[in-house]
This record gives sequence, C-alpha cells and structure tokens, in this order.
Amino acid sequence: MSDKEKNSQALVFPGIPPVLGELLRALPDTLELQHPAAEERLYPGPGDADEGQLAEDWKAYVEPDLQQAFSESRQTVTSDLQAMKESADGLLLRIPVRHWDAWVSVLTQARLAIAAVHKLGEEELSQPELPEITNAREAALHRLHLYGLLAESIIQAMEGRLDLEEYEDLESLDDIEED
Amino acid sequence: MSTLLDEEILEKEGIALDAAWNVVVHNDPVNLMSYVAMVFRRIFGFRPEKARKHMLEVHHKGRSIVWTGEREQAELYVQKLHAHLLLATLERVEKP
Repeated sequence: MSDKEKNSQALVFPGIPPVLGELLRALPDTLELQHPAAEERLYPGPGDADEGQLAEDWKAYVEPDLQQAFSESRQTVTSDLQAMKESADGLLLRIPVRHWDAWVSVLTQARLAIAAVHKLGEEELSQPELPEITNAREAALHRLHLYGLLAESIIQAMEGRLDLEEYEDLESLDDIEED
Repeated sequence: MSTLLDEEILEKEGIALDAAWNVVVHNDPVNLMSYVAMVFRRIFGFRPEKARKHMLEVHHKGRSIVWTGEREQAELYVQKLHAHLLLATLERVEKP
C-alpha cells in the first residue's frame, strides 16, 4: 500500500445513535476540567523520591511538552468530532489513519481522567456487566467503557488485526461491541 | 521480584551496575492491555511476544522492568512512556 493510499483510508463508524454521539462530543471537554486527581494521573513524576532535582526538572521541562502534545491531540479529535455527519440511521464518524494516534491518546487521557476523578479501579473495571446508571459514578463507568471500546477498535486496526474494509461494512457501533 | 533483564546485558554494553537505572512500568487498571503491549513495541522495538510478556508482568505482578541502562536514556524512555500515558518511573539499580 502506498503512503497516499494509506493516508486516504479511515476508520468509519456509521449509525452512531445520538446519545453515543453526545458522549463522544463530550470527549475533549472531559479533559478541560483540570481536576487535581486527573492532573496527577496524566502528569506523573519520574519516581525515585531521593531525586528531588529530577522531579523539579520534570515539572519544569517534561510536563509542558506533554501538555502541548496532549493539547494537539485533543484539537485533532475535536476536528473529527465536529466533522461528524448526520444520516438517516444516526451519526457517522470518520477517523483518518493519520489521526489514529491522536484518538487513542485522547481516549486514553479521558479514561484515565474519568477513573481518577471518580475513583474507579480494578474492582469496577472488571465487573462482567455494566451497572444501570443511577448516579454520576456509574455514568462515568459507562463512558469509560464506551471510550475503551472505541480505543480498542483503533488499536486493533493499528495492529493490522482488522481489515479496514471490514469497518466500512459495519452498520453500527453495536456490531463492534459484539466482536 | 524477577526481572526480564540481567547483569550480562549491562556488562556487554559496558555499563557498571552501580551506574545503571531501571525503567519500571507500573500497573494501571485503566490502560488497555493491547495498548500497553503496543506501546512497548513502539518505544522499545520489542517483538510481539516480548511486549506481551512485559505487559502481563505489569498486569499480574504490578510492575515490570522494561529497560536497564544509562540514566540519560532511561529518562528519555520514561518521558516517552509518560507521553503514551503509561505509569513509568526511573529507579536506580540495586546492588546485589
């Protein structure tokens, strides 16, 4: 496959119900809240407590670079979300190959931030079935799960485990969940 | 805990044990296992089996030493792992 052909390809998710569309559109905003717990997880220190100078340097030099990189990936995802089209059977999301890294990063950023803010850990994440939504924490768990499904789909495509054509034939996000 | 690296590698590369640093990746229940393995392949050039082995070590044992060597390079690796949102730290190699 030539680079040109590869760049013209994309993952296409048609038939997204409006509710899921709203959850996806909320993705970049999730990361603008700057909650201390989320910040702590997204920008961890380099470790080794006896290296105080390293921790200071890390905050001064590494963290701004990470913030810049994460911000750029959010802009990319926002542009794809703004380009979502409405059709008779729902919304259509198109993620070009060159945006896959940004999407996986933003989905991962959002999942980590949500889990940190709502204190969701191994126990909640390993539940075989999602609970009914009766509070904000359970709603957060649903979002975390949805973003995880989407990230997993992109990672699988990145790893070449799924044929792009297969995605073009999918009729809705439900088809991905059944996989 | 066991490591997937040994002193022979350091010797071969001429790095004194007391000047060596470990890059350690810690478990995080949120990050997808497939993602963690993919990041290991990208950053360290691991073959799929080795990436999976380290990913499973992180998952089951809580941490995995993914690289050992000079400090400057170790810092760069930790920075790259943070850019991929993995929980990683730098640790001085303990003398046996």
